[in-house]
Amino acid sequence: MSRIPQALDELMWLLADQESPEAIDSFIQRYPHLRREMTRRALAVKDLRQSRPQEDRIPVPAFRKPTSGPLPAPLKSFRLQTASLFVGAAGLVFAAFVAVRIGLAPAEPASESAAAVLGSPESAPMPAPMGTPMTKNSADLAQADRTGNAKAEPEAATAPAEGATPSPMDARSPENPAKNLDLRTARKVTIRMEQADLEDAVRLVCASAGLEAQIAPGMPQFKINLEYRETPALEILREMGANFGFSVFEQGQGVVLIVPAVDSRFDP
Amino acid sequence: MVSRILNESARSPYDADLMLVDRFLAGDESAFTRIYEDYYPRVFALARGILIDSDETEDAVQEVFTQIYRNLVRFDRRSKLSTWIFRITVNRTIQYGRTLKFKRRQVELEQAAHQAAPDAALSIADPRIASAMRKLVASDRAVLTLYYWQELSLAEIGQSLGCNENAAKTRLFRARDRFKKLYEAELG
Repeated sequence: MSRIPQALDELMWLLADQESPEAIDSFIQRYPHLRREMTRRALAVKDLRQSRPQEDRIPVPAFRKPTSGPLPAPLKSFRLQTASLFVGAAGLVFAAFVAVRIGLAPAEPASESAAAVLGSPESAPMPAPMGTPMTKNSADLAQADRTGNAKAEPEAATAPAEGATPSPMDARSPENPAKNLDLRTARKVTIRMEQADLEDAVRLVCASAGLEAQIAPGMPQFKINLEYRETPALEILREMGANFGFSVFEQGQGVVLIVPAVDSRFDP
Repeated sequence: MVSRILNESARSPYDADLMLVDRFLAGDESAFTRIYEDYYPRVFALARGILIDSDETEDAVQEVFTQIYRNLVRFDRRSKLSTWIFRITVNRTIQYGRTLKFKRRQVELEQAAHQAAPDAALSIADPRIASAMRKLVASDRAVLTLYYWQELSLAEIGQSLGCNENAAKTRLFRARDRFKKLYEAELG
């Protein structure tokens, strides 16, 4: 037998419950193929109803009073205590949630602005990049290519001279928190270049991470070799900046500002 | 006009029940005896529908009324007294049926069912209906009994079973369908 549509199924039970012969006949005339099913349902309901024990003939025995009396009424204060307990627990859960959220949020940048750092010759030198290239260090390769310049200490390039551009690590501005949340700068990039212009290399690293590079005029001009694997783009740029004499600033909205900050020791 | 309203409210079983509850809570034990006498047949019929076997029903009903007696002070009046009582009856009787299963083997139960039946009024009139009902699970029997024997509305059934009206409707629909199949099998 094919499945009865739900609406008809419900209607059939409704008619069976009502036990109205006229309504059932009318239904059967309209849906003759459901005659058997309708009749069966009507019969089942009718027989079930008729099997009901006759309540008026049920003898009522004397109530055997339980040995223990009625329970005491619940105190209103108890309800209040329960309610306040729930409210307190909810508050604790919320506080814990807020604490966890604050704990997970990225660390706020130092309160001093980039401008303050700009003019402070005593400011600490930029820390070394957190990641390291997987293979040959591009700095060593680049230094070998540099024209007639003595070997420059990578750390020296990071220490800004008076009036020089700020260190990239200080570039995060508390006024623009959106900058700090741009995930594109953290996107890991694998890149390999040989004998490429520094500016082209910077642009390629940025492009690989979906960043827009805004390069200020005066970038050093030399050929470099690069090889990084699965390293965050910003980390690559900062390491390149430390080695080749430029500073990196996150501008937010996927824009990175590259400013040449060439230490006197980098000048040919 | 006022007397008519008072008379109507006095006739209303809902208000009469509440007055009995108030009297009992005030210390009038006879008020509970009245509740017991009023509800015993309906509670018995409901318990019979769930347990099917007659000789255990009386004990179950006594347990139900013991529960009602002890907990009446906690009746919060958000529903009718009748649905509150039916809810206790359904829960307690299903629980009683479960413990009964462990006490006796099914064979013994069936023998008792056939041998007992001391009074036709206390039994389910049609043995084929009784047999089909016995094959259903207790919760299906409860919903069928509440609907067809106690003639409660779906909302009241929901309150008695601790669910909403829609859930009660769904449970009734499924229980009815299962019952029909089992009953047809009984009919051959």
